[in-house]
Amino acid sequence: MQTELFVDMIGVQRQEVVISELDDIDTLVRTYRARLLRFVTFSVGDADVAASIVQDCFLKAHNSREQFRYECSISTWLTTIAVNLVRDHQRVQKFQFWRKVGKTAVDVMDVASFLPSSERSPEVQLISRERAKAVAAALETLSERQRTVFLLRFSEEMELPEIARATGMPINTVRTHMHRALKAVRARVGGNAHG
Amino acid sequence: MAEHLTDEQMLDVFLGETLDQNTMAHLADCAICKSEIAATKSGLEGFNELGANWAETEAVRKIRVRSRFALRTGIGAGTAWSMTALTAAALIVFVVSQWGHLQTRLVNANRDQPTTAEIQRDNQWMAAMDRDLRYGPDSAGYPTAVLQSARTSAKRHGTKVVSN
Repeated sequence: MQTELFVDMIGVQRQEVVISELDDIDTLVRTYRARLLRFVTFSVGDADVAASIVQDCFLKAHNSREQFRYECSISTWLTTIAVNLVRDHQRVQKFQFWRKVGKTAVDVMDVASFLPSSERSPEVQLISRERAKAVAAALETLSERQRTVFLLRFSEEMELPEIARATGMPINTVRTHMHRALKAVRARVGGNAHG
Repeated sequence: MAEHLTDEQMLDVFLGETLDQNTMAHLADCAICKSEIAATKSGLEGFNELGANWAETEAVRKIRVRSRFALRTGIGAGTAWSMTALTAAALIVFVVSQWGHLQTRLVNANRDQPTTAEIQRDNQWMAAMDRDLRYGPDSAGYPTAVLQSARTSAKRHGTKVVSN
């Protein structure tokens, strides 16, 4: 009985923390912006558009914070909103042949830098950078769904059921997209000669 | 040596799922599969690290939001400025082509406007007319001069002064 009460209290405390975090949009932005920015940039392949989508995502989250049901983490919830916004954006973009893409995912890999580390020699960093660029290039060849699923798993480190919930796809479909995406990335990065 | 790992087995490896005995045995022996997995994992780690570092740097920068219009239409600041410049150029061409006509209209408009002195004279004339109507002609001793001035003014405006 005491244990149940304790669990209930922890649940209530957790909800209060989540509510206060959702109410304070500044904290929300500070905590999750970088993570969302990375996901959206590699999803849409344009850093400028990604910045706008991320802002929209926070605004949408803040406006609909009452609808948050505590069934997942705030991060997953925000990612789900971002996935929907990315999908909306890509639907509109299909008809915009005149659109000029800003900084692409591969450009981002060019300007980004590794954190200083004594463990890695310049040669190793160069090889890692080339491989990272190959991953970014491979992502650009994937379909929208394959890319989303791949990023959610390997960048956001979400589990398959979470990805299925965020994307609204059955787990088997998620797995199929993951299978194709990984094969394309392996072919570019791992020098896949067999299968 | 058995055949290399299939795509499905590779997927299991990357998803961190439980591997069967055969897969584990093959992985322990096959340098090609091990090297492919290592290269892909290294690529993914580099991709994530570079992406995260870039995003951390970007995230602390001042938030620069494009308008909803720009986001939806893809018309950026450059295009918007070009359109503004084009509109301004068209406006200048229009003004230049219509300049002569506009000048004539402005001169005519200025000529039609009565001056302050004329308005003052008109007021005096109206007051004199009022006085004449109320108390009879020459009641104030000065209406003739005022009437003369009013006639001049009226002539310019194309109206007639009817003297009693």
